Amino acid sequence: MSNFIFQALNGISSAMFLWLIAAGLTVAFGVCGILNVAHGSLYMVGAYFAFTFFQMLGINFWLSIILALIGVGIIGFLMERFFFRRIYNQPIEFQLILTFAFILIFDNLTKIVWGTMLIIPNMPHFFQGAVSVVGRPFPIYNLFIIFAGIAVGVFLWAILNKTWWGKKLKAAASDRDMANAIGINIPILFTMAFIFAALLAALGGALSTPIRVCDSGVGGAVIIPAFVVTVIGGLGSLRGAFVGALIIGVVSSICTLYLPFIELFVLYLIMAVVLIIRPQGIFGEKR
Amino acid sequence: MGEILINTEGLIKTFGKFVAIDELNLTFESGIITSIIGPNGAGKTTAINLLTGALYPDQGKVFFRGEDITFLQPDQRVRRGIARSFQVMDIFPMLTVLENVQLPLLARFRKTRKWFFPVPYYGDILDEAEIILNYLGLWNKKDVTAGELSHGDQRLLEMGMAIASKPEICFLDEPSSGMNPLERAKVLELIRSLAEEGSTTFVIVEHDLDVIFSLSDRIIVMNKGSVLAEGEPDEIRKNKEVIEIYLGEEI
Amino acid sequence: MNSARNISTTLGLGNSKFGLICLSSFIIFLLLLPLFSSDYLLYVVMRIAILCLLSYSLNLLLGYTGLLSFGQAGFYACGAYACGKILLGGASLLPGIFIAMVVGGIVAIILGYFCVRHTAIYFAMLTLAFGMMIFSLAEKWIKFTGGDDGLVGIPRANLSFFHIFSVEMNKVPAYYYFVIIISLVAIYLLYRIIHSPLGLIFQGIRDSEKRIAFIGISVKKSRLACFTIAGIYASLAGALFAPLEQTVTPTVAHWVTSMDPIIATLLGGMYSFTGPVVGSVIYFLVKDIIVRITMSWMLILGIIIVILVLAFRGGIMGFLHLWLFHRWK
Repeated sequence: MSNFIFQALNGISSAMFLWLIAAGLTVAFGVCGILNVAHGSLYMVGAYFAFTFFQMLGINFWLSIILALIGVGIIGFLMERFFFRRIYNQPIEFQLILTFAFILIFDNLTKIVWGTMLIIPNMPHFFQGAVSVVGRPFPIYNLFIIFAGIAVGVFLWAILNKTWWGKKLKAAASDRDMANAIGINIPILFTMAFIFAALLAALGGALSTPIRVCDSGVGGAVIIPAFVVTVIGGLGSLRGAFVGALIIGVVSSICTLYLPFIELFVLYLIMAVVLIIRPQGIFGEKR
Repeated sequence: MGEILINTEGLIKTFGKFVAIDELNLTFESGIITSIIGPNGAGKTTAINLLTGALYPDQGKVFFRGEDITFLQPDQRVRRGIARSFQVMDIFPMLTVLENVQLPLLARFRKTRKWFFPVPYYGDILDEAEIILNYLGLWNKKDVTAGELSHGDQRLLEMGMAIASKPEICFLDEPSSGMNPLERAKVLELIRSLAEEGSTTFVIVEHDLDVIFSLSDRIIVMNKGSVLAEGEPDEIRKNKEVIEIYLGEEI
Repeated sequence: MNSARNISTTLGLGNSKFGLICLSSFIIFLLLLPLFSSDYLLYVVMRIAILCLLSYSLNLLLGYTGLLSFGQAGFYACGAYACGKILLGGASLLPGIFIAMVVGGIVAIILGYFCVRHTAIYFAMLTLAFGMMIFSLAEKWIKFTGGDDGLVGIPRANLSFFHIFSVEMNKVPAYYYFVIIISLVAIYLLYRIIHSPLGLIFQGIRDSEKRIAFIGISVKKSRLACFTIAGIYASLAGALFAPLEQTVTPTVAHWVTSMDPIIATLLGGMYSFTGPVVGSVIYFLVKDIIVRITMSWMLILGIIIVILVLAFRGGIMGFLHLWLFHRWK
């Protein structure tokens, strides 16, 4: 039983990374209508940036994260401004193909810049150590991640519901034309929204460097569970993304313990079942 | 003449808190051209959607020749003889005019599962398409891509697709919107001659009062989701409530 | 007869005689190829033909019916594994291919039943999920599929007709003729389908599925028909692949494999019938060349796709068609 609890807790902490990517996907899709399959690649680039600054250049951990965010923010800006803006009104099939192409580009560019160098976990000294949970050592950093994930959730909720900018985002998400008609500058808003979405993914990547291995193929790999999460939670629902991430994180974790060989299959099966029975997910609306 | 084709009982449809259709009771008899008029937001298009299967009601029933069709899919209703055209145009933009008309004919002649012979091989469909396109005056444009037609021609094509199914009852949702007077007259003439032929009963949603009063045998006035008044054009013309709604518009 | 003009208009060329001449010369060229080329070249052409069939499968779904599937690799894998198992069991070539196609068709009907009730994004994601489920099965069901090592040593079985005759397929030219003739017949049949009433309905669904419903045609049933046909063509491609490579591994089911036909179709032209052929040839050659020059083929491929999606949505054939059309105007 204690194994179960421990594994579940592990699942929750790994779910936080999925949550961050899924949150980014949700913002990009909900506001801009872009289903960015390359969002996992933004996570990966965020990880590599943070890794470069912190481990290779020895810059302060927190500063490294901020620099990584800035880096990915610029990339996100370029993606939206020069590419996504042209395909907003095209059939979604082209969007999907375009963003798939970005996965190829990012994965390869990463390989070019960093070579086949892997990111090896390197814990900043003030996070080292563990606390005892059900009699087993649970890394402090993982606890930090859980709190960070929840904090991001609260932060997002606050922004969307309490700030003027957040209200504009929600307006654009529910009715683009109407928002335009009442004077909201859609193009700039979209750019900012996408940058914000990219930052979320990058934050996930940056925070993952102390405990996770990362290579240039991660971009294409991590997007799949993130996708599953958004589908389960409901495309366009942040609440759904959080809940979905928790579900997938915990289920994956439990699966690796008891049924390791069918973990991937179960993941896709859940995704398929949700898509068949209730495509709008737990919290989503029918689009 | 005179048999009841479609009738509804107590239709109710809400969107969230907004009651779009409120206890709607309609009856349509064959051979009688009916117009549905009313201010914007009265629920005219929603009513047509409920009758043709684009929407399902929250309460109430729709009957076709006595059969309960309330929850049938659109294609099932078309096969029974109910067709419609759309207010927001919906043709096949990448196909030619001829192909646009051939599609409803394929359904009508039950050739939809044929996969080996090219479409022109089915001569009966080609002939019927020629008849319909000639009626619409579009035969000389049969190989033009539908998306490239003028607005008026597209609207004609839209109507043509609805009548190609040779329905018993055909709902036209603002068939002449956006047209110039010449095109509008053409549409009028088209509906009149088809109605005279007798095989199709027309129900038209319109805003153009000239079209309505010159064409209709019967007018239904809707407001706020239910029927405000119905009757022959002369009665409606004199109806005080109707005049009020149109705020002194010249009738 | 009208068919000559039909063929050439579909090729995007204005002149009927020219189109027919092109087609005939191409077929004659293919048939004469073994007389003056190496086994390796024949192998390349066969790989292109297989990619071509897979691309046609996607072209039917995406270009003609408007459905983007990320899971065609799943059917490809079904065909490959089915044929592999059957040939390993000692059967001859035709039963192997035929049964593999039937398997693909059945899987397509079952999965299609769930997929076709959804649109656009959900359809794409569901096909992705199903495709990856097949991939997981291929990886983990070691007893049946051999896991990561896959099926090995698949014999290039003889082509035999009930003891009447038997042709050895071990020589590359022999199998080459088999693959090419089957591919040509399959493509011809697809051509008939596209231009038949069923094909017109597919195109109508792409343009406006709402309208299709309102002219009395069941969108779901038509989509299912399309999905099944596409599944059969994808599994045919896989079935031809198995005896060729004589090895089938789980990668044939991965979504990355599904990207190949997507890129090839996009490159060649999604809305034209010759698109998949042109796209497959160019994609294969380009990939081959790029891989020799640089390690960064993914990057270049990605850039090409971006350019295609942003500027040349009709692909090469679309571009040619526009160019030639304007010249003749």
